[in-house]
Amino acid sequence: MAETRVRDILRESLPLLLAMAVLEVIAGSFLGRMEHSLERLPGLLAMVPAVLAMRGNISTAMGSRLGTLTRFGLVPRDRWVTPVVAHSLAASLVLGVILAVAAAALAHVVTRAAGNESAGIPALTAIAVLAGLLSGLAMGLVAVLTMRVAFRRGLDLDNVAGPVLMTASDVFTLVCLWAVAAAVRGAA
Amino acid sequence: MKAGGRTPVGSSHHWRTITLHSLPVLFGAVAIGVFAGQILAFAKDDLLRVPVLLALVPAVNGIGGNVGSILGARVASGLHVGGLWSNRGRGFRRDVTASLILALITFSFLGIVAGVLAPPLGLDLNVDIAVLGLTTLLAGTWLVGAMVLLTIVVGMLSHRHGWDPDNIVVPVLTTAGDTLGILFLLLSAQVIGL
Repeated sequence: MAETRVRDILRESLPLLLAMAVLEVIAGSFLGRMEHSLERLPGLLAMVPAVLAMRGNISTAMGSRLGTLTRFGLVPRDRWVTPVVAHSLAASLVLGVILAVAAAALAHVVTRAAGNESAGIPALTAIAVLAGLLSGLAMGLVAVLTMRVAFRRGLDLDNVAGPVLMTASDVFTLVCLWAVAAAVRGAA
Repeated sequence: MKAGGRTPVGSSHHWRTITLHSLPVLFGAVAIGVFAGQILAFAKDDLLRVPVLLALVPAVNGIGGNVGSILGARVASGLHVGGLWSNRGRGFRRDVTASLILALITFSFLGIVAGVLAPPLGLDLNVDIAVLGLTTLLAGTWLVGAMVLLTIVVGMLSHRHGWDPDNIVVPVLTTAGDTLGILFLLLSAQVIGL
């Protein structure tokens, strides 16, 4: 086997990273447009990286589980959602809710401890849980779709799922955060 | 497919097992995320003044994490075969060079794309596009430099203690990508005077 060269690594990774840069800027633009919510709801900005990290980690872990299930033939070709897939999706939603509550509470406590104002646990929790659930549902669909497409094209899910799901997760989570924060700000 | 519908779900695939086993690591990710969030909150006024900088935060994190996991996965495979400096460190030098080039290209591209896309995406573009590209380039270079140092430290520690590098190197580097990415983006914006 020929030794891997710098050029080979670049050829395989660069297109994916450049595409990711464009999609992440689109995702980030929703954070850039949250100006009013971020000003009216202190503590929200401190919570954003935690919510993104949580949803990204849950979604890539789900992709990795679906990849393993596919590899071991536990997902038949003619069915979209089997019991094992349903359990994986359910776990992703339950985890999303538990961690959203944790992220909101922790963001509130740490923000107050740092001597800053916070919108309070109820408002932050409402935003994190709602945005987490909505983006979780969207990401469930994206993960299953990715699995089907990889399956049909004969791609190894383990090689594509990570970057695809991570980027999609940032896009959906920020769109949901933007919308939910605007709604909570309007209600408050 | 009647039978398929009745297939019992093995305990390891049950949602409760998945949930319980995933919680500790995810709690860790959330805690680190809140820490990274404090850095953002600290620079909130600057970020609200330059919305395109705020829009770059998820991108720098995502790309930093990805370059980190590419470097980490390559180095972990190398460690399995015989340590960082085997073959006079040729493999390690190649991986470092590749991630540095990847970072230089992707991060300068990122700033320029953000500048070009900001107006159509409804963001107020109050900085020069070239300055924006320079800011992300500087942040990305620092980030990869820090990641290389971390890889050396973590790689040597795993080697000495017999840890499986696959379980250590990649999570450390992706997590570092998340927090350090934000820190370096803000520092670089300060240095360049954005």
